[in-house]
Order: sequence, then structure tokens, then C-alpha cells
Amino acid sequence: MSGSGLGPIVDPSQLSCPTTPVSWAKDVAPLFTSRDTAHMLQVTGGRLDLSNAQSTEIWAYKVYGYVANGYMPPGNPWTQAMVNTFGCWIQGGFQP
Amino acid sequence: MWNRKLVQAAIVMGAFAIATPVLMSSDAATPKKAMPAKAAPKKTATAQTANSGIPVTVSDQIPGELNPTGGGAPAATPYQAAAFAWQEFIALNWPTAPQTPQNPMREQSGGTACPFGSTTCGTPLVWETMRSKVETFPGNNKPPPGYVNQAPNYGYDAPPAYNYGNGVIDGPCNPAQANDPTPWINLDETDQITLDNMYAGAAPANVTDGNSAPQLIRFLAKSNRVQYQYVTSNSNPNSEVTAWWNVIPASIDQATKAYLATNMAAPPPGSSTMISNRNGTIELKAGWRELTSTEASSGRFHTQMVRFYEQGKSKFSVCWRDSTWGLVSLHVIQKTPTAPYFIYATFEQGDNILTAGGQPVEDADGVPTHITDKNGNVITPPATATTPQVCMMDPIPNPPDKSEPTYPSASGSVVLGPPSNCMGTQSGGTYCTSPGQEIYYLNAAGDPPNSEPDGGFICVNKRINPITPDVITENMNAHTAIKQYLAGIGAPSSPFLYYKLVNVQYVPYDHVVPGTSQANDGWLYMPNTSQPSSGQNPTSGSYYLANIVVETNRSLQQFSGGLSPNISTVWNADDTPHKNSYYGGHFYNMGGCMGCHGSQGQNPTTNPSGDFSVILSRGAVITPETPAPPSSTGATAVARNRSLSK
Repeated sequence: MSGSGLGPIVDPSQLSCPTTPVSWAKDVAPLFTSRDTAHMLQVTGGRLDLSNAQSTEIWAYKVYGYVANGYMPPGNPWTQAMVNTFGCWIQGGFQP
Repeated sequence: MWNRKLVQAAIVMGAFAIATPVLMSSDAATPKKAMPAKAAPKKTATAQTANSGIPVTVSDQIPGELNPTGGGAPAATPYQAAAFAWQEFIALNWPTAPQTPQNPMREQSGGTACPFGSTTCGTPLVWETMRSKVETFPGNNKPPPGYVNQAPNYGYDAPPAYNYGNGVIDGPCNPAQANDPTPWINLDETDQITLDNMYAGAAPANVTDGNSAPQLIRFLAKSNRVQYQYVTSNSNPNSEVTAWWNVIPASIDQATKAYLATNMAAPPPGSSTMISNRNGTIELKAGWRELTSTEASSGRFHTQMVRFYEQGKSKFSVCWRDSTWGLVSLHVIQKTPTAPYFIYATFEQGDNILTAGGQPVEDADGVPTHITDKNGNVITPPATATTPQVCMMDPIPNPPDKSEPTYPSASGSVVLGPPSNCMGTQSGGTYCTSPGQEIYYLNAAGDPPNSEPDGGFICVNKRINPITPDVITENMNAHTAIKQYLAGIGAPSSPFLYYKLVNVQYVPYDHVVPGTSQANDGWLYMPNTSQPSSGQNPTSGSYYLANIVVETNRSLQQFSGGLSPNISTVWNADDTPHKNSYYGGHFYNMGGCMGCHGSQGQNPTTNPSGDFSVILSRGAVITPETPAPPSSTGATAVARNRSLSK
């Protein structure tokens, strides 16, 4: 279910990111709710753990593709700022 | 946000599914065995029986259309469809020409130099060289392996390479296999589209080669050059987040779903502004398992080197093992000019359904066999398809939920016990604790109210819908043609004499559930037995097309409508009928494979459209799956990279 009103899809490497690197603990982890984490753990049999930086890094481009396109979270897509924060975490090399 | 009502949306990968058979069926009948013909031509052989079957030819040409001169797929007869399926099967199982640096061609038949059914060339089969789903939809944030930005092939013919998410693959579980050639068979699925794990009691019971689940049937999904070309030609290699091999862009998905809603038909094939696979797109799903030494030497199984996956060093990593296993199932689906919904055919190895004592319940043509006791006396086979019997309840939602009217109802469940218990009791059955040589399955744990019995194993005694007479006839025709061909090349036998077509779907059928019936199984499709079978009056075996080792649990055996989240239902949450497949200006409630691909591929509510292709809908494959050992309660916790969609 897309159509969130998000802007054009921008590759993480092309985003304008803050000079202070986006960090997992401060910026990215709070983007995910406990419900998000529980659901993705359930449907992936524990492979995607959105509370775990290592796991989220493995799935990062797919997560970014889905949130940037408005597919996820279904019915309640992220704001552009949230999408950019996640993309900047990728661009910054997945800082802890 | 990823809330319960939207629980089936996911960032994960899907293989194509199927579904199938019914509780009661009048489809069963047993045609006479065909008499073998005398002629034994060398290159091609044709068999024709005295009944109304269609000749099958041993040829390496994959048919591109069903009934091309008689109105196409929608106007075909069941016999034509079954013969078409066999022509696909034979051509796809033809050995390839030797692949060398000078001849790096996938899917290239070896022709007369590498005869069908022989191991003369020692090469993989045509379909085996098609790309694994992860070879078209890689998980490592890079273009597919071997990709070059040059039409028309975009590097399709590169050697096999399986690129999952960064850090996912540890390498070989056994260091001695580090330098193995990469097998063509990549078994990265371990369950039946996330719903249950499938086992073969006839397989080795003990771990001997590092396979942690030696009786587990594992799966793969592949697609051909045509789909790879479609995906790569519409992907920008410099923008991973918009490349179709990673995720279908929202703008494309929106345009596709708007077109579907307006026209109730697929967009023009090959569209670059909407999702619509090109004609000639072929996808396959195959089931494989470890064989006993007796099975391996029986000559009844096609065997091949496979790669399978086990838990790795870290929580999120896996390692791989290579071993020679046997093919037990093969789905083939193809989009043709007159079948934008794809034509779905499924084949099985002939010995899949055994009694606990090891007697086959069907022969290689699909004809039911007599089961005997230890003294050779014929005994009555089990009355129920499974032990314990399971029953699916699909009541109309009460009260209706008007907030999400197009979402499938969440009121269904599957229970143990005889049909008389279907409407209201959760008791009435005991799990199967001694499968012997039967096949058996274990449902994944699910949350109420969409619960399935997951506390133990369910053994499979027989199909709910038997293989139909038209299909049996074509199995006989095909086997006879293969025997003639083998005789012509001086080959004594071939494993492919022991594979059989189960059924075919070649045109959608709209099963309209009568009224608001809540009676036991009252929502099931039943054919009009006073009329001949056809695309407009399909047999139950066709409407609920399913492979007994790929779509075995109750929701898959009787799939129609949608899944919510793991139970098949014909209802929307607001009490309206749930439809799943657009074609020709109509929205259908199709069953089986086609209905499932419509539900999960063409028009999934919470995933991008993939035009009946679930692997295209789900995109990048991040991780291969590893076995999920049964827990102490029998429930499964299946590690996977796929999920279902509403």
C-alpha cells in the first residue's frame, strides 16, 4: 500500500545529511516501535530484529526501499524526515 | 505501525505459492492404462491412446502458447492443458548443452547430443540453469551477479552466484566444501510459504551429512531469462533503492494497481510504467529432499547437487552445505499471450504419498493403488486425507468490520477433528506421532483467531482431490512417449518415467460462494458433475491445484479468496466476497495456485504488485532460510525472508 505523499525516492548516497553523523542509538533505533520490532521478528523468524543494529544493517537497503516508497509501515508511513534519517544512517556507514 | 491488521505486509521476500484440493470430490475415476505403441523414433516420439487424450511429444521445444489455433488458453480443454504442461516439463527437463567459457549459455538445450532422460552430457537440466530468485533479486545492495548494463541479456548467462545480505553468509559449514563448484540448485526456502514445514517419513531419519533436518523437504524458486530481462531493463544500476530487483517503486505500483482497478485486467505485457511481465515469463518452484541409499539407487528420482543452509556462527548468519538430493516436486508457471494470468502446472515424484508401511497410494500415472496388509490382503484405505483429520472453518464475519472492507476476514480457523466438529469445537483429534514412511507436516505457530493446529505432526494419507481422469490419461500418454523415445536412443529407463502431472490451471474461474452459508465446508468449490470438465467448469483438482508436498496444510490445500494471515478465507472483513485475480474485465475468486498468485502477486494490498509473480512483488532476497526444529510443544519458529500479504 503505497501513496504516502513522500517525495521522490533518493538513493541514500545522494541525501543531504547533517554534519553530525546519524547514529543508531540516538537517531535510528527510536524510529522503530516495539510493535514494529515484534512483527518483523515474527514474520522473519528472528532474522530481522529492528532493535538490533547488526540485523537492521543487513536489511537496511530493503528497509529503506520500503519506507521510502511508503509501503512500510503499512497504513502509517514514515515522514520524509524519518526516511531521510534512516537513509543518512546508511550513507554514514551505519554508525553505532 | 506494523500492526496486527497489517501483519502480513512485510519487508520480506516471497516465492510463488500455490494451493489446493477439497474435502469431497466426485472427480475421481480411473481410466484404462494406455497400450504402449510399437514405434520407437529416435529424436521425437509421440504417444496416442485410444481415449480422447492429446498426444505428447518428446521435444526440447518449450511451448509458448496453449491451444494457439483454437482460441488460446481460455478455450482449451483439460486434455490440451495437461498435454501442454507435459510439453513444458519435457523441454524444461532436457539436459543443457555443455556450458564452457566459450558457451556460457543458460537454458540452452543440448538437443540430440544430450538426449532427454539421459546423463550422456552430464549437464544440468534446462530449468536448473534458470536464475535462482536471489540471482535476479539479490540482497547485497548490488546489481544481480554478472550484471552488465547491456541489452538484451544484461549478463543473464553468468555462472550461478547467490548474493544475500552483507554478512549473512558465513561460508561452507564444512570447510572441506569451500572450493565446491556452486550448485545450480539453491534451496533457500524451508517451509510452505511460511505456513508449515513439510517432511517425508521415507527420508533418512538421522543426520549423516550435516543436514540438521534430514526429513525436511526444502524448496527453491527460479525464473527464466525473460523475467530477468524485464527486471534488469527497468532497473537503474546506479539507484539501488529504485531498482526493480530491490523494490518496485511506489509510482509504478500505484499506476499498476490503478490500472487493475479500472480495467480489471493486467496492463500490457512488458510495460515499463506498470508491472506486467513479458509473455514467455516462466517461474518454477521445486521441492527436494535427502534420499535413502535405496531411493537414490532406485532410478525413480532425478538427483542433483544441491546447496542448503544451516544456522551460522551468529544469530543472523548462515552457512551452506552441498549434497546430492532428489527432486520431489516441480511447479511450472508461464505467461502466454492468451494467459496473462499465467498457466499453472505442478508435477510430483511418483512415490511421494506412501502408507506408514511404505506402500504407494498411487502409481506413477496417478491411479489409486490397492493397499494391502502384511498378508497381502487388500485393506480399506484411510477415510480421511490426514491423520488427524483437519477441518477449515470460514464463517462469514460477525459482526462485519467496515473499517477495512477489502481486507480478508480474520474469522477463520483450522481445527482438529472430523467435519462434524468443524463448527465450534477445537477438540477431536490426536496428533500423528508415528508417521512411518508417510509424509507429514507441522504448522507454524500462529496467533488466535487465525490459529491452525500447531501442537504436533499431521500425517498425510491421500490427496483431498484425487488426480483427475484427464490428467491420468495425459500422464499415461507422456510416459508412453518417453518410453518410446528412450527405446529409440537405447536407454533402458529414466527417472522421469516416475514423475506425474497433478493438474493444471489455465483460465481463472470465479467461485461465487452461495449466500452467507456457514455450513461445514459450504464455502468449498464443487464442480458441476453433470457437465464435462472445462476451464469454465474446472474439476476440484484443477480449481484447488496443489502439490502434495508443496501446498499441504489445510489452507493451502483448499486455498481460495485470501489469507488472513495464515488461514484461507473467501470473505472480506465487511462480509463481502473476497476476490483475488483480475482478468478480462472481471475480478475473480480463483483458487489454488492461480488464486494465490493473484492474492500475493498481482494485487497484494500490503506489498507491491508483481503481476502474479510473488518473487517480483517481494524483491530483494536478504537471507536464505534454515530449518526450524520443532519446539518442545511441536510449534515451529521458522526463520525466513518471506511473508504473506493481505
